[in-house]
Amino acid sequence: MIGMEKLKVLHVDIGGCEGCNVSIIRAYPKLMEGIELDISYLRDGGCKYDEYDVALVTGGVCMNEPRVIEELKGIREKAKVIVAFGSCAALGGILRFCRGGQAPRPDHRNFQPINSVIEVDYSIPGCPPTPQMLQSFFKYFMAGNETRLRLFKVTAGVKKLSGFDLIDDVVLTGLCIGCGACELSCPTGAIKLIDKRPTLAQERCIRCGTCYIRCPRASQIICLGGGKT
Amino acid sequence: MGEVRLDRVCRVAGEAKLILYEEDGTVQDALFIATAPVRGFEKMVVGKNPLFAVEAVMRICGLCHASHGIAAVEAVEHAIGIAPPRNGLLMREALGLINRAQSHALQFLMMAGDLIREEKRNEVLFKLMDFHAKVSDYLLKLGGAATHPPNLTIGGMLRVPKWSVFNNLKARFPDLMKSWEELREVLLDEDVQTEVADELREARREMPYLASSFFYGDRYNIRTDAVETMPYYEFRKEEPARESTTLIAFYDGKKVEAGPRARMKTYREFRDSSLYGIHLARVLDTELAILRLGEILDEIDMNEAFRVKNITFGPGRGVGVYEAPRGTLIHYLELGEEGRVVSSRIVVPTMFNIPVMEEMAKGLSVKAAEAVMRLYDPCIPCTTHVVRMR
Repeated sequence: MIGMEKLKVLHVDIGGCEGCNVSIIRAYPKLMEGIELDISYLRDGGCKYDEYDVALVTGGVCMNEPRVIEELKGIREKAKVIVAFGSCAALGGILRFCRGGQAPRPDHRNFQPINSVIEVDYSIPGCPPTPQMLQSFFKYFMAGNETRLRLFKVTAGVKKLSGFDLIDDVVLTGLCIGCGACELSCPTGAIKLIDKRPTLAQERCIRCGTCYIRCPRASQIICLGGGKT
Repeated sequence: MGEVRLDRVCRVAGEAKLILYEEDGTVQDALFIATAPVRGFEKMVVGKNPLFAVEAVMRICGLCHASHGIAAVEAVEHAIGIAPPRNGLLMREALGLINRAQSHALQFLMMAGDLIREEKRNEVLFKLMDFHAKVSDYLLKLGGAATHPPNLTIGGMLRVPKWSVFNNLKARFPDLMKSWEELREVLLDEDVQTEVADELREARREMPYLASSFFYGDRYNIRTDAVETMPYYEFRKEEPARESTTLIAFYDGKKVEAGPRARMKTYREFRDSSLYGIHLARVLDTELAILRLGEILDEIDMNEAFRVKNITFGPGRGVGVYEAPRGTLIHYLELGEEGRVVSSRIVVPTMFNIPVMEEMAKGLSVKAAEAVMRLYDPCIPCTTHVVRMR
């Protein structure tokens, strides 16, 4: 990247748990050569620039809070590329279980992944995605390697994925080869391989979709246009 | 009286506004208004299996994930009358302490902009990131992930790392310690600190403290029924406060400070009563957490069990109290006939601290008052996910 200007990257959290922020911070030392990250953890005052090359958005959008929706639309205008980082922003994740009713704001009932409100270019699910995920994303992004980014690109059009989808699409259809990638990737230990086939402990699944995109078969299904919206 | 309004306080965990009312540059009053949406975790877990509840509440906060996990499993275990074996408890304590060190490291990172002079700041930030990476690796190996550790579960550990992992972590411990010692040097080096740090050193003020234990948490050391909560907008009647999405808490009807200084004052000989003392207490808190982690690694007996057998979920009520990085965290839980969650209420340390922060800011300069907000390390994702108690 010698001689090139650093990518201007903005991070915005619109209502998550901050776990993804920590992941981004942890990824940053190795990304410093190529990107300049504007993150609230490290700056004074508001955003540094008016326009950015990439915006990393974390957290789901509260549909009952117009302010958050407007903020999100504002980010879309500011950034050339939007990356939904983490399962809440990408697929809804744990926020898919929200149903409101809680003081002091019982009206905050509905949370959606950000692609319900704005157009998203890439989605990186995970709860949280590891710092290495972000590092490889930027590596391929800066190299313009569309093949490697394809999975993130198609995931950007998907609104929900979970262990249930994995079982439905891969195990019940007989496509599972028993590689165990789902068990290793599950952030809650909900998936266990029994007789070389994943078994889902349903009560532990938080609908983050990590297993689905890590599964070599399931990721092919969505990359080939196997209709998950 | 002049008004200073910060629409988005930077370098805190989450979204918040700060309004300072000042006269001749001295802050007379402060409003700390958290505005993050309420995700409603206490309502989300109702009707669900307790195992889901534990995974879910860990996701309230990405900074103190293990702390929420521990308070929740303690509450479930209290409700169904089980306790993990010694190994399980030690491992749980270790996960919590690693989480404490992780969270404090991030607070130092956010606080560096206030306390450390600009020319030295980047060096400190790099050291902090390095230390955070090292300590997070301990959570990855022991807990199964560096954030939201899945091995933490009801009755003990879901998966037990291999003995070789323990040996590896023990072998790397001196390196972790060394990295911390270097960091401690710069965090406490008064020669590289700002004027804000000096002002905080001069400002001596204290409030009653709340702490239940030093390393872990003890439901019998505090009166869990003496905690009252109310929405922030009922506590502060000013117009801008209506936007707030948080609740705040009082112990025994009083404002109490929770966190590292409260633990140090209650359980250790700690004399510093200045606001800078909170920073000092946090540094000591991190150090003692790491040292205790080293002890625990030596105490684990690989031949013994890590989880209780025969876990049966049934009706019951339980309280889990844990000393999270920011202070006393309380989970109240009720399970119904099938052992599913009937009600859950969570009181987080920032709820106690918000009224204290506002009080402490009085009499300071505007810059120092803003720094005080960060000094208490408010965790907004946590505070906006809690329900009102009756």
